[in-house]
Amino acid sequence: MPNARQEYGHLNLDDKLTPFLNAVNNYFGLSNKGDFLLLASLGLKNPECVDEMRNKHLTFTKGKEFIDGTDTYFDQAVDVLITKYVSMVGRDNLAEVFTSKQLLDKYMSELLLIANYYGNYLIQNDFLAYKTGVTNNQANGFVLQFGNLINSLKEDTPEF
Amino acid sequence: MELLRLELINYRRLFERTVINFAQGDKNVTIIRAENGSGKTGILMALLFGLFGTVKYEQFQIENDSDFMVSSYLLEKSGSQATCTVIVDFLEDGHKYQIKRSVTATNTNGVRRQSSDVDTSLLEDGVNTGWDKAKIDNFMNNIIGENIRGFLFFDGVKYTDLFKQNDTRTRKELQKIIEKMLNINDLDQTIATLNAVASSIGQNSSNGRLESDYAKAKNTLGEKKTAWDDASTALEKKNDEITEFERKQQESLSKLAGLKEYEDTIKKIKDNRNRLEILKNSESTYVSLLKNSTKTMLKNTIYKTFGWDVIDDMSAIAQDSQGSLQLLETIVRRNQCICSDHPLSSEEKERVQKYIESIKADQQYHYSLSSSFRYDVTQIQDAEDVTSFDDAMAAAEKYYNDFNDINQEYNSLLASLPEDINLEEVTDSVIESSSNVKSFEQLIERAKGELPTLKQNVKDAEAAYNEAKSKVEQLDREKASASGQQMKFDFIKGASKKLAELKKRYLIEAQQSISNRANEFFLSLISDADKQLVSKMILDEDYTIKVFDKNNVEIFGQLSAGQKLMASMAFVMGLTAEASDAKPTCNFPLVMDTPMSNLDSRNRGSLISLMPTVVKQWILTPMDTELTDTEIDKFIATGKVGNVYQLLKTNISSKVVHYNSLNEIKGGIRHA
Repeated sequence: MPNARQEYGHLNLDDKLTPFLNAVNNYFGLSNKGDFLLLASLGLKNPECVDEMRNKHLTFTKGKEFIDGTDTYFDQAVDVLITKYVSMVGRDNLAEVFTSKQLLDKYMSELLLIANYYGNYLIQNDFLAYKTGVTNNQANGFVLQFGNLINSLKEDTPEF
Repeated sequence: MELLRLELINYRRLFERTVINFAQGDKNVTIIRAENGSGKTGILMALLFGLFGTVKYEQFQIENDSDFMVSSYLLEKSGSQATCTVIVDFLEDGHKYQIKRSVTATNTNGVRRQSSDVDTSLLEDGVNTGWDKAKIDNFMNNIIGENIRGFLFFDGVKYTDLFKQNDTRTRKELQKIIEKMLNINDLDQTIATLNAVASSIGQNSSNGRLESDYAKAKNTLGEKKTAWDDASTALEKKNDEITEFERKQQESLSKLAGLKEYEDTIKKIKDNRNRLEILKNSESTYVSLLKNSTKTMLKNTIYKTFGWDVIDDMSAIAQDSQGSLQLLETIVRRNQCICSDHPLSSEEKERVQKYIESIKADQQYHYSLSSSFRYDVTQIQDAEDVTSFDDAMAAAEKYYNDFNDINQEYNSLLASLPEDINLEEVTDSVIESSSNVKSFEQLIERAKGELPTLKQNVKDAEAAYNEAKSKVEQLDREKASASGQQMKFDFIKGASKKLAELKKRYLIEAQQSISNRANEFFLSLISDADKQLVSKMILDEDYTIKVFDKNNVEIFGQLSAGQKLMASMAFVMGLTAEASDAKPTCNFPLVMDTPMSNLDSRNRGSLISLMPTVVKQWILTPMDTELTDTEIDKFIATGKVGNVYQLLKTNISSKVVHYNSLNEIKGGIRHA
């Protein structure tokens, strides 16, 4: 049984995210942190994706760019995702996670992997067209497609 | 005059001996076909040089007489000196003449210099006249005056230009040409002489009062003449100004008319372009709206998706720890462990106490976290910007659709325009032309407003001049009568007046006759389609060319370049015909350089069929594109072509080749 590196390594997964993320950034004006949040939250809504990620130890080279941003707009949203993820995994005390840099880094890395993994999942499935690059026409269509995706995310939200 | 033969030796590119025989009699057309730069115009120049000793002629765009005529190739080859000779044989007044002109050039260490001396000789019926250059030139000028050479060497571009501007200069030039052509200037001289003789009769009368009055009157006459001239010039200037404005206005109008066909399309294109421009400008607004909405949307979605879960989780964790806390607090209160009777040691008590505190802190943390999330989530729930994403999406979608639709229409409109129309130029010139039309309208109106005053000025000045003139005449007569020669004076003065009247009548008749002939030629030259538009062409008393349409509206300004060329040719032909009747020796050949370049094939056809019948000799130097197989067939059909030549060029020289028939030069120029 090949390990994850052998299985996925040659795919250069995070490289393939680039055109996709460029399109997201161009038309939705999200920062790297925004990309990370979008993909990570989509991944968290997908428990299979979380399991998969946790069972396969993939290495990404560009993942850090997702969260190394000065965009403070999403900071609270990052907190929500970490809280949710920690409670999902249920291993560590939340207060400790938020006060320990080591723990925080560990959970962020895992979330990063989820985001990467889900991004790649999108490329392989929903956004097959963006695998090699994005043309202007595709990008125009993408605006609507991606808008629908966000809308679907909104629809899943419970009513307050 | 009839041209017989042109011989060139060492002339420019044609450094071999070249002979061109001109067709005469029944077959009176000589064709010399050539490509650009092969020396086509050079042959006409040689003809002009041979006949008149000058190549200074505006249509050749030659700066001065010293333009190089000696073959430079030969000059370099032959060493220090070479001579170029031009010989023209012609018939005039029943005699055969041969005029020969030679010019020498030297080559000193690569510096080439052409002598300004032209060696000239003239043979009359084979006998050398022995005249010097000045006499020969004078003789030639008498055969064809300088002004008439313009017709001998008809240049389409020049005459179209002349006919473009109906201004005073043109009118004066036309009048001069006509008067000279019809030899009316001889009459003028006679009248002037008679007047001078009349004035001289009473010269030096002994009457001092009369003499001083006469001197005063002469002086006044001079002043009045100057005043009259000034007033006339001012009026002419104004008239020319108006003509120029009208011409420019007409130009703009016809430009507009040409574009009218595409006006709607261009209007729509411009409209679409503006809309696209507006959309493009507002694109950034849509995009930033969408970007901001997306950002907010994403953040809110994360809160809405996970926020409630997180709050629940936090509450659950805090709730879970509540039971343990109660148990631990009971242990502390009872000071004994649940599973044993022993009281707690102080060490154990401290540990439990610490544990309670940590649970309390943890619980507190979860409570605070949950309440902070709750606050955030509530905020987001109340926020209206969640719906703004949908609006932004809809706006963006509409923007893209609109843009695509308009762009599509714009492109298809662009595609519907003819390929050679440059939209930028067209739209610019539409805007420019319509604004020009308006501004010229104002200028014309203003200038026309000044006309009555100027006209009155001229009238007053003329009246003053005439008064002064009659005063002088009266004194002339008094002086003549004082010397007892009043009868002689009256007789000569009467003769001069009669002659002046005659001249006037003759000129009017001639002008009318030229006008009629030109009109006839013009109508036979223009196409049937044009005949539907044009009713007649006239040369009026002011020597203004006028072309009228069916409704008698003057439309000269609206004629196309080809039509104007036809009008100018018709005028030349009318003039030639009139001059032939007036003075048979003026019946001269018509030489045309690239005569048909501005004409369409139908106009070429009518020119080809008509021209040989109205001129004595027709010599033309068409380019290969002007004389294609179509035109050759038309020439063959006339049966009037006598001699056919072609100028073939190599790198350093050109060669004139004679052909026996037009059929031989079919299929374009073949290079050796």
